Amino acid sequence: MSELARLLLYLCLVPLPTLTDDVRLLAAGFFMAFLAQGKSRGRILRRSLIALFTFNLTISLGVILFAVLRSAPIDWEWLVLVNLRALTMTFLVFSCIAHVDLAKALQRWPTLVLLLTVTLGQIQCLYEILRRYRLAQQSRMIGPTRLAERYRLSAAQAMALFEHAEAHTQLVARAMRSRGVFE
Amino acid sequence: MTLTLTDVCYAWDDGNTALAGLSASVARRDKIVVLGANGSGKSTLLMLLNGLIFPTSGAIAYEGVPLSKSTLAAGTPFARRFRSECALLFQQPEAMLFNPSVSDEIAYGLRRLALPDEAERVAYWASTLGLGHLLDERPYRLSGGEKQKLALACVLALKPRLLLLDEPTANLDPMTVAWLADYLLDTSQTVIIATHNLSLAAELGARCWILSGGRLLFDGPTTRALADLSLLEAAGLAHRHRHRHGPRLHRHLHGHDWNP
Repeated sequence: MSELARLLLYLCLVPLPTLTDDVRLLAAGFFMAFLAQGKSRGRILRRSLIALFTFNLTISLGVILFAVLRSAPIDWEWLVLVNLRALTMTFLVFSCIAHVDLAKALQRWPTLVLLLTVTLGQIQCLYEILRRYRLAQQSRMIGPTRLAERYRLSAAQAMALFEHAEAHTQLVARAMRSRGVFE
Repeated sequence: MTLTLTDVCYAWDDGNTALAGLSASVARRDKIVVLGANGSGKSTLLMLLNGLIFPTSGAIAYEGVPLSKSTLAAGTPFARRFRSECALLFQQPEAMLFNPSVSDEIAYGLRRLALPDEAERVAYWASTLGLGHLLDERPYRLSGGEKQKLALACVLALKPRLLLLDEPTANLDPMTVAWLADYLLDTSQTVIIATHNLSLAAELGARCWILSGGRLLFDGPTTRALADLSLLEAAGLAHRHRHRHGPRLHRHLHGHDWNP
């Protein structure tokens, strides 16, 4: 199967979990998607669970708390459905990232590939800066950091990243002009 | 003359002056080393010479045609000619890498500017700079040194008549630095190189511009500039501090990576 066909298949599959309210059907769909991932299924599932855990737990606990406070029955089936739906969609997105080479899938549209690569390059660059900030921070800290201090440092890092992203974007645009992109 | 700079001034959007009253000319096949401390205006000057930013006042002309927004507007014949004849290696190589593979990256400028022998040039420059085994690799996943080599390959593959190099030896291993020095010695291209590597300056170019605080302090032979310690001190390239000669500790003016 070509990369473009795979991408299109994933794009068609991702919204499917929203079309059913049947938990058993959704679970069967998730199981099939899980099996179809081959050797990487465990890694993809782990990534999906890590990405969802805090958000889904907060929402689920909120729903349970709200029901308890109102002395209303807890709709367990609905809770399972919502969590499973979110897990299936996230699992499909991570599967797409793991199995589809976007640059190859979009090679018919060079401008799209260019934009994609610039974006990935920028993400990689910012990720690297953030990693270095964290390491530099660790190397200068003795003992655990207080929550207030962590918030302050995170805010400073976010600000620095934002400014760096802005400057880097301007520089990339100049490099593109220099290399004849706009000619 | 290839380039003529007449009283060039440049100020950034925040009002800070980057360059002030810079006048000089560059003849064909000149090899010029631009020396200066951090923030002296070297990178800004190279971007001005590449027509990426434009002087706040004064003028820069390439073979008699002024570099301005109108002459370099996208799609004009002069813009096309200028972009294929004048290439800049950026100080931050990752800014130049926006293609999905190393081979596409080297080929990109050749394709855009419709230059011949694309496959041969890609293969030649990739193998010359030790990137032959990385042709299918994503450029943003390369190491710092490999990114620098790739950015250099992209620029050299164009065979530009005017080569602008901003800190080309940064991140490069000694073998590639030596190769670059040899290449610059042999090439017939006009080359302007910004660096603060004094030990390499004389090998990189016979003529030298020294910038300090955005002003041109010196324009002359590199050997003469490097012999003038007070000039280097004024430009922030040499300094006095305690210094050991064998068992003797004393204080005198010197450069760190170079001494006359």
